[in-house]
Amino acid sequence: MTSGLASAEPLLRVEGVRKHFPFVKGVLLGRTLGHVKAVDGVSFTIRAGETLGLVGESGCGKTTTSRLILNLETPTEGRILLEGQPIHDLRGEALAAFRGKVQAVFQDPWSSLDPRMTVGRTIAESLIIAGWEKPRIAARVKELLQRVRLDPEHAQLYPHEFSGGQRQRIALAAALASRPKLIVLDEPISALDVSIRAQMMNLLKDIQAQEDVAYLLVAHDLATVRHMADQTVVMYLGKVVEHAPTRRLFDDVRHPYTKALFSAVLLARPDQLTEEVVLAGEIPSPLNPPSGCRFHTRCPMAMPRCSGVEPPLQEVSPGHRVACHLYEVGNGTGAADGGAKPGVFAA
Amino acid sequence: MSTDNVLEVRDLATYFFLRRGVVKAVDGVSFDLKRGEVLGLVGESGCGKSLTALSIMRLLPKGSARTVRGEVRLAGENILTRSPREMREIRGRRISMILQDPQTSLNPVFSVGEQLREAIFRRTRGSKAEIMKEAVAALRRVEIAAPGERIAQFPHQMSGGMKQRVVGAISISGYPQVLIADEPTTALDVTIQLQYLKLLKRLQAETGMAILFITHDFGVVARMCNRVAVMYAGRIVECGPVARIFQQPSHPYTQALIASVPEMSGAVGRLTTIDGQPPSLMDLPLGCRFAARCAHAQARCRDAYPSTFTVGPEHVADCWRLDSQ
Repeated sequence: MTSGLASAEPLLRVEGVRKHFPFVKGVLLGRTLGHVKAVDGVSFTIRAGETLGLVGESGCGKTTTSRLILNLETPTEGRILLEGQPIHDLRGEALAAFRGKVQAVFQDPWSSLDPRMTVGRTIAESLIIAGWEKPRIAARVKELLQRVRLDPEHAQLYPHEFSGGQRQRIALAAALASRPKLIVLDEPISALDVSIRAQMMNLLKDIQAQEDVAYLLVAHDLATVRHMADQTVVMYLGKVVEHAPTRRLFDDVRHPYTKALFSAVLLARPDQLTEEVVLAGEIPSPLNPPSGCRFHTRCPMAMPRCSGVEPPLQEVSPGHRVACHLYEVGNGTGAADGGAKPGVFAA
Repeated sequence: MSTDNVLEVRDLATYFFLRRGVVKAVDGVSFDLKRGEVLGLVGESGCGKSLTALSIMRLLPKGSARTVRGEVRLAGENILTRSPREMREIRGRRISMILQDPQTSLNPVFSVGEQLREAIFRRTRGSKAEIMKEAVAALRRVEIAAPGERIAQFPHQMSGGMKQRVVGAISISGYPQVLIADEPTTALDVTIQLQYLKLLKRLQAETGMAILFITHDFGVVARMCNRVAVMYAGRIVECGPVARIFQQPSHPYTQALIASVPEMSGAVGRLTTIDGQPPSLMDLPLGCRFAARCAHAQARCRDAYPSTFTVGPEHVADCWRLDSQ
């Protein structure tokens, strides 16, 4: 139905999405005291076969964003389109088809597999729902296990017989079964051991090259995102603060929050220790976010207007968008040039 | 013993005795912790690093786990032979510990002040006012803003970073000579992690305590430690100054581990991987425990556990490749 789409149309389009959760006091006749603005005006697109990295700390809205894309939550405002179709209007068969096209692999391989099902059954689940015949299912399960570099004979075993890294590969095989267009990877390697992480990252890249599947990679580790993602979105308290092609972002970090995140990365090379930006204070509550720029309470570069006026997300170079008053067009303060270069910005 | 060392661990072995067999989780661990230094203990899950810490603290899980041999010398005296009552006096005052998850380290039904005051009272037996004053000072030391108000709060009213600061305040309230920190920042956000590491460094500089820092993250090692010991399947396989371990890792396991970490600069390519799994701790091989996954393994590696070879100043590794003869 969407085969006639122009190639310019991205696979996934997130348009001005907001998700506000009411904060209610009392059980039955509760009063709404306010809203937690978990996601507050987020837009980006993902093309077929590419990876978008979504980075931020707890409470930044990255998990809610991924749940909205998985159609597990309905946005308060804005819309999300997959292949040009608004996903939150889908019902019945169209919704079932959507579930096949967008799959997920979650962080914890110990809780994401049903301990009472053989891994073969777990992988076959979506094929059974899609009404495949038994011999075809068995062949496909075998093929999927081989694709994630596990022994096809392992289909008969139960999750507890596998290590964390193997389980995460089983979860990936189950996600791949329905030939999805997009897989949401929510911290797919952070629960794994260091030596296993590299295996999983290589495997994810290989599978993307073979299947042309797009990934939404939710992660807090910048080095992982650098290795995996084509474009990177940095979020803070429900807002996108910076968005750029990954290589450009890593070469030319602009937003003070992104700079602090980069500086907090603990490089595994003692000789490469760089200047540190240690942020003061805690992440504010999304229930009552700061006025103006939400980062101004912790920002080492904050100016008077930052607490009053919210900075718009503006393009500072092709494809590189930043929400910061330092880079506003016609700002005229000249601060942008001084603060723009990584390294000049010291704590 | 050398007077430089505040803690000396010698041939420590802790096993789990199960019906199915004996799990040799810590199997002959030896290291020194010098006064005022930070020694990193790095390894993957199941390598025995946390159990090493619990064996030193003598806080093994009740039941199947038992320390079967070795010595833990704290300022020269072996604390493995001390009575449980004596150990209670040693813990908190001379050796203390911070665990990974601040959520479970603190008691949810007591205010942080009560928990802190309990720790201080056990040491000083002072008056109420004195203890209160000291508790507020302890919170201030771990950089908690408005400590006078925070002290009456309960753990659920605090963020993860703040709770971990409270745990830190309790741990160092007895001015211990040795602090064991077991993945203290793993549950924290990255910007909060950096704050916490800086705090620990500052406290260490002020008090001169030695820290045994347990982690799986080489980034934390690079930022925090003076020396690092790498553990694999119940043994320390390599130990040396941090800069040397990163520049010239000598054990193939350390080399592979460092090479598999993605970098923040340079070309993005395929990552180096370590294939296979660590051996079962119930059925350990006779020789080197890494041999089955090692690219350089020879017949000798499978036949006998390698000796410890010196590869540089304070830098040792257990690998037959280093045997020059």
